[in-house]
Amino acid sequence: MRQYIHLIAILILAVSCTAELPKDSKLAQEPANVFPDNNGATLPPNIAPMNLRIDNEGDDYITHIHTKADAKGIVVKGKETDINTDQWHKLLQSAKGDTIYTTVYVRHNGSWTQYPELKNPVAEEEVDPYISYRLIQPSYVDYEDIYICQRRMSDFEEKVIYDNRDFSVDASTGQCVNCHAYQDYNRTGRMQMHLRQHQGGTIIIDGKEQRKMNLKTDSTLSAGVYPAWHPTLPLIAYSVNSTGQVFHTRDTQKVEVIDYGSDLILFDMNTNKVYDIDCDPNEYETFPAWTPDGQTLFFCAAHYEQQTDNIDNELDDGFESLRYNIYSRTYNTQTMKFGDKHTVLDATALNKSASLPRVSPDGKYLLFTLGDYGQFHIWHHSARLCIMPCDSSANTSTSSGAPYTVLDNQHASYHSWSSNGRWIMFASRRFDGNYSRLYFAYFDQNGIMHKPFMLPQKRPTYNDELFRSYNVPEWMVEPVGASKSELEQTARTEAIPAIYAGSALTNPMSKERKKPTVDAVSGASQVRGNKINY
Amino acid sequence: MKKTQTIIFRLLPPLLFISFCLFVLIGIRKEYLVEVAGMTPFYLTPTYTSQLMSQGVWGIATWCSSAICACMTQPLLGASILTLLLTLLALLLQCCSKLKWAWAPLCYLPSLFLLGNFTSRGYELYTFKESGTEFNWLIIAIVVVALAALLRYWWTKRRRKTSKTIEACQTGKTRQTGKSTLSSKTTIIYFAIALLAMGLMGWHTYQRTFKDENYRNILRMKQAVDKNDWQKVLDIALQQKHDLPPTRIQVCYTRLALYKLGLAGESLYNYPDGDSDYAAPTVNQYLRLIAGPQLYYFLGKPNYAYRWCMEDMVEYGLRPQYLSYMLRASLLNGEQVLARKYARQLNAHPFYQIDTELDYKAECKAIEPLLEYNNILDGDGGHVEAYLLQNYATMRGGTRQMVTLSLDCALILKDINDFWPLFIKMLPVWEHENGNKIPRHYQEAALLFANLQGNIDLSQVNIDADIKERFDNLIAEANANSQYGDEYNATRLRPLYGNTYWYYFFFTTGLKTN
Repeated sequence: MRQYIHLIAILILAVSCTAELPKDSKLAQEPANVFPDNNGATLPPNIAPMNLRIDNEGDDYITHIHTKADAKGIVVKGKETDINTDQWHKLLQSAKGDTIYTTVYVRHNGSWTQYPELKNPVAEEEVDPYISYRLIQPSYVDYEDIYICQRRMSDFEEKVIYDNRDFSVDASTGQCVNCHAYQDYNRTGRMQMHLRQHQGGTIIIDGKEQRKMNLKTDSTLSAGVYPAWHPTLPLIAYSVNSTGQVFHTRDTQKVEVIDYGSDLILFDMNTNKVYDIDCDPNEYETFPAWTPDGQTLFFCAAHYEQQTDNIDNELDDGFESLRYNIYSRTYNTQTMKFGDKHTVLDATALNKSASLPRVSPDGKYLLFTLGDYGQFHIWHHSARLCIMPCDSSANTSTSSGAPYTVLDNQHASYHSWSSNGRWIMFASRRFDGNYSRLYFAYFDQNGIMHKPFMLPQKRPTYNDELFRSYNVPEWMVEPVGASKSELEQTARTEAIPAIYAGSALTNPMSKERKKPTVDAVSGASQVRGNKINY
Repeated sequence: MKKTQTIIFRLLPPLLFISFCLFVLIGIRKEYLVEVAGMTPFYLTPTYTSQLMSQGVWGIATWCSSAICACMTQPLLGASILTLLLTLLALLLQCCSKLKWAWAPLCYLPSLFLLGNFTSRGYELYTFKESGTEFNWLIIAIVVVALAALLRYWWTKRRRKTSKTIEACQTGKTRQTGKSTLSSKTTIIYFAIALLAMGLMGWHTYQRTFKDENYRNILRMKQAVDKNDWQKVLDIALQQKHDLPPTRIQVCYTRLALYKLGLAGESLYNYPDGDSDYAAPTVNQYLRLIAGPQLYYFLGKPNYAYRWCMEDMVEYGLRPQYLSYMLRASLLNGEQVLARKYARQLNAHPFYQIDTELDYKAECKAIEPLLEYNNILDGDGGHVEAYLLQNYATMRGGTRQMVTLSLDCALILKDINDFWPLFIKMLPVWEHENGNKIPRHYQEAALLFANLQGNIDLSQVNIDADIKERFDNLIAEANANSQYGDEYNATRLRPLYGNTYWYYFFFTTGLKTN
């Protein structure tokens, strides 16, 4: 009896694994309704299988993936495909520089329908082998449920780098983890990430060595926030921010993350010293980004002169008036001093606000997001992914020719360049308006971004079922060296206080704020103030 | 001992136990069972299942425990399953141990203890981070005892290899060679002692069971609000015992129901008011945790309903109740794709089946008139009642529904300045729609405020003669008894004026809004 059962099981397995294309099928005019819609997107030759879910009504589904060179290709059964990774990579390699075709067959009421082919060009250039991101529920003040994960791009392996739940036992031990960043795509083994609240500090990994720093000094606004590793030197530029969250009563953007003050600092890992870069109280500097040669620092800044004693109420009421431009400063690696400030993009003149500048690895392009106001474009529906040449001089506002090109016209936020500069990864809430997913787009030699595709998953529905957002996606050439337990051990150590060492500018600026011209006004009855302590 | 007598004695403990379980679960904690189901994530999706399974034995136990909790959506079903499992544990213990049947009632003590652990909970449900783990220890205990029983069976079989022993083990009537059998009288005495122990444990469990009347009414109201059964909310409010003031949650639910039925202006002050403490072991924002999303949603603040569901989801997991209000808030906001995401997840719960297009259409339509306000940046700090009252009382303009709500809030806040512009705005509406009949409490407030301010002319306002007369009487009585303190006057005037705005204005003071 037992032998029969085994035989039947093997037969069932064999039948279920073998899928044949339907011999008779009628041709549909419209393409199949598949999720995610990656039709037309250019794929890297080392990407994980692009599994899809067929949403057309049917009783049976067959997906045929093939190339010109391999017409037989891969045939997969089921409403959700589960493509064999080895077969997929073989097929993908054969399609390098060519196209991969996907044909969907659906059987409904006894007859098969063949849908028009979905086409995906395959680029010659690969994506970096790893990415890392933070998985977080798109919440506002509560943030316990956070993981920093590393994902291998050629398959679906996801490894947890840091699990914040291990620390969040109760309110007194709750902590937030954020802003993981790597020097030179982690080629140097240098990484940093912040811990907030309980056992707060900045973990800095330098190869095998790890330490936790307290980057807040008496002379700086906060601990380090948005980081930018110098590409070669043991330096990290940070913004220091006084950030708060306030809630829209009606707008579906739901929350506004406002900086009520921000500056730039430079941290020297060798000496544990912190230097001021930009600390003009009437300029709200944030989001630093180095050029690949380490000679220039780009950043965003908004000009705002405080009118009253209560900056929080001022900006809560006038949040749409805070607009950010992009500036740059040269950096002399010999003297370790920054030069004068130059305007790169006068977004304010265009009634726009720029955020998160990122320079391409060849140093030619500046990628950034442009929204209607503010700097935290993650929540802004108006946020667009834009690009401009790095060497363009300050623009003038003309209606005919903006100095930038809009690469992607949908809600886009955190973006980064692959190490070869051919792939752009960005997070976007475009899928459902709330949970950000990762998208990847080919950026060709002519400076054109192709249609993006969504991060492939073992089960395509996972992107739908996941109640977390992908946040702060970063490319990596090398995986993270430190283990989760090592990082957690470092997190439990005392933070080393950083030492304030004055200005890193060739011509230091005054930190004194102009006196408010008007007395404080009350914020009526509103209970706002959800300040974040960095 | 006679056979029938033996059977009766053997059946007595399980029958008593089952009856007791059902009495406690259905008789006392029925509403709580429904609440537990709403606060326990259980979805038949690969993502949810694999997340739990990755936690090993604890995850598997959580899956089973969550399944039991999910069944409590239908209280009788959930209670029956739980009772069955608790009884199974006792029977397995009986089978596993060598206890004679006379001692069998002792096997029910662990089950009673576990039952007590569950029924003794109340407000902890909202701050308990490990949702769905209520019955993990029960599941683990059943598995361990079952394994032990199997092991014992196997061991006994191996040792003795006699069918007699197997039978003895299965029936729990293991007889050991060389040991004498107890007399029937002694057995009955032992049985009585064991039964007494079981009874004491049962009494202890009953005593531990959380029976707070206010909490029960909160849950009954909450479940009625969920179904838009506003009349039921009011009925529950009126059933409130006189010597037990309601909590703010009950007051807020009552006001919401009155507003929804258009009765606030006519009978808001007929209903009990109060600020009883929550019978909770720790202080927390229970109003926000229990009723926040509902109040915000039904009073036209979908973003804030959504926000608190999201915040709590981070803290306490993917609970169906949060998803339900995130779904509704998304629909109200016109975020259809997002709503479908929540609906898909809820539909993966065995007891939630939602059609986003149909189920909430009427509900949303009724709330839409409250959405005609300009967007601003704001925050509530978790003080739901205070925020809603302030927000509406200070609102100017909007739809008729908004102005009515603003007027109610201005009255509750005893805000004269906010009252007049809203009152005047509503006069033509009452004239047009209500045959010039102004709801009672608004008349009372107008008379009172005009009297307090002194320079308001109400000659053009249609004030009912009996209300005017009552007001004049009140003034006369107040003047006559002005030498007595507020407490004296409050007690004396309550029978006559307890259901008026005047009484609320003068004597209902110092209530904590949250």
